[in-house]
Amino acid sequence: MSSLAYALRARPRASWIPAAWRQPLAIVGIVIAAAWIVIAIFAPLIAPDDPLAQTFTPAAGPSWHHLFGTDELGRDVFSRVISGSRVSLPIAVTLVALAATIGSIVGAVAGYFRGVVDGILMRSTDLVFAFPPIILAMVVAAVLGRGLFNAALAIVVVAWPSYARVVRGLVLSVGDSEYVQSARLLGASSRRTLVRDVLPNVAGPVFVLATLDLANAILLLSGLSFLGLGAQPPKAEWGSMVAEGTQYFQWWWIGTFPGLAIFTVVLAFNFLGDSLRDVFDPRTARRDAEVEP
Amino acid sequence: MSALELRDVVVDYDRRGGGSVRAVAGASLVVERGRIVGLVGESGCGKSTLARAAVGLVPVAEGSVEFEGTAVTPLSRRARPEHLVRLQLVFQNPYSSLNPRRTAGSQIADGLKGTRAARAVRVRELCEVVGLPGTVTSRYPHEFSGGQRQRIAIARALASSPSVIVLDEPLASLDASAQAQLANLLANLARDLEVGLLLISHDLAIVRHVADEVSVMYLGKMAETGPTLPLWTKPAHPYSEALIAAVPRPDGAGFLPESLPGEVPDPAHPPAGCRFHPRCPYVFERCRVEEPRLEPLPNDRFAACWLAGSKGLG
Repeated sequence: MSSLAYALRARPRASWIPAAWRQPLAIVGIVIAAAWIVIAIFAPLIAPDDPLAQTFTPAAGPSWHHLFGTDELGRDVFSRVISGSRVSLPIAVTLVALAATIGSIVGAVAGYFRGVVDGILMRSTDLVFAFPPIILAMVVAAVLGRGLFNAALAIVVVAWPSYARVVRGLVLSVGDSEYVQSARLLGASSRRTLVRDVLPNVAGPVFVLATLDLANAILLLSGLSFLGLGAQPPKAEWGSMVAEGTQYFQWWWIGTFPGLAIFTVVLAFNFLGDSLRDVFDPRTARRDAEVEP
Repeated sequence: MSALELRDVVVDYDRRGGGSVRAVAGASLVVERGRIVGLVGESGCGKSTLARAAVGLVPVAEGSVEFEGTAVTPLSRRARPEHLVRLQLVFQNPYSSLNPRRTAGSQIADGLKGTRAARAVRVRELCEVVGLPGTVTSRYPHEFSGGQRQRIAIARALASSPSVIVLDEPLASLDASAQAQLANLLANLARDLEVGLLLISHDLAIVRHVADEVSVMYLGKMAETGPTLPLWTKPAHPYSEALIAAVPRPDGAGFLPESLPGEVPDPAHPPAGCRFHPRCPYVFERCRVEEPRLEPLPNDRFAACWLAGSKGLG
């Protein structure tokens, strides 16, 4: 165990924080994600230059003046990476929220009504699942036309079915659980148990999935932009910046720093999602109770 | 009019890939208010299915289930008819029969009506009835032991002022001291609140301790029914005899329980003739071809065995 985690464990006043949050990976995830959110909020204050302004020193390597160097047009890469967070993060959060809402409603309807409704809705999720997400997103984005908005829409199209599956499964299993049956025997209608017993038990896993999906969404969005289907130049978007960088391999900083930005954000949300899953998992919660005196 | 009356109940389960299993093949049972009826039998004999059919969680294929004179209808999407709410079920496992995300108080209040304050008062009363402090109401199920959870589940059932509670192996997942406490609680509930209890268990010692009558079930049918004590001292059916002999005796005499050879046959393919004949030590020709019906014996007893009449009971 790392000394950091050990030190945090040893502090008794931290015991109100779930043990899952005191894992080193969770801390790394929280810190990086929080840092990126702060950067996105205060981007104009942090970025030293206008992300679109060109200087007379194109393709200059990293220096104190340009921390991440300048790109082939002389734009400050550091400022572009910073302002890129204002593109990826809000879009990812919005589209994941949208996908989670649509998917959860579809899943809840399928799980509640079962039968034919369930069959139709679940076959439509199968249809989406049949394609690799990036390919389907590319097709949808290409059909809708280039642009950030359409790329985000394309990602919603590929992202909602996993929520539908998870929510349907939970509504079915919780709906058949003994505590719902006892509530039904006590005179609660099926709809009432859905609201009081089933959905609260579904919310946790959906939240976990959404956090993990945030990483996927950012990756997909960058991927589409990288392929030229998302953000269009001169917008400072990480994926399209990496794409520009691939044309100038001798100036490694142009593509590397936006790539690192994608890497850290995706990693952070993955860690965060994993720890959230541990927090919501009753088994780990019980283990927690045994560890803490 | 009996509180709960099951007549020739048949329950079929569909099997994956076609075909069906007859889990309950014509079982009858009567539970009066204030009486405890024990239902015993090996695992897989259809006890739990019968319990679910009795409250309407499982549809009945043939026969009838009546509660206070009206038919028990299977659960639909709509709320259960008001008069049926007084027929309750307590599940075997108190770890899965309580919602982990709702407080004990809120779940006990499920069966209550009236203002918030009135319900809170009643919840505390019910906690007291089942022997829990009134302070438990704001706590979540994971904060309780198995025995406490089962008390909460019973308090929940009592909230509907039931006249009959079906208890499906309520003690099976508890430790010995919790079992004893809960068994006494059940006995008191039946006496004090005039609740009829259908106590399903494979723990015969506890059934003998609390039940007024016992029904012995084998492979979806009743093998024998009757008042507890006579049935216990002089079982009429060889299956009851075997079950009772299999109970360990903690009297220090060094008696080892006799085990019943063989296992419960597949209910999808019950044996011809008497259902018990492949395992019966007294089996003779007639048992293999003809199935005995549940015939009356003296002293309110019934047994489904060709030899029952010749045992000189009564």
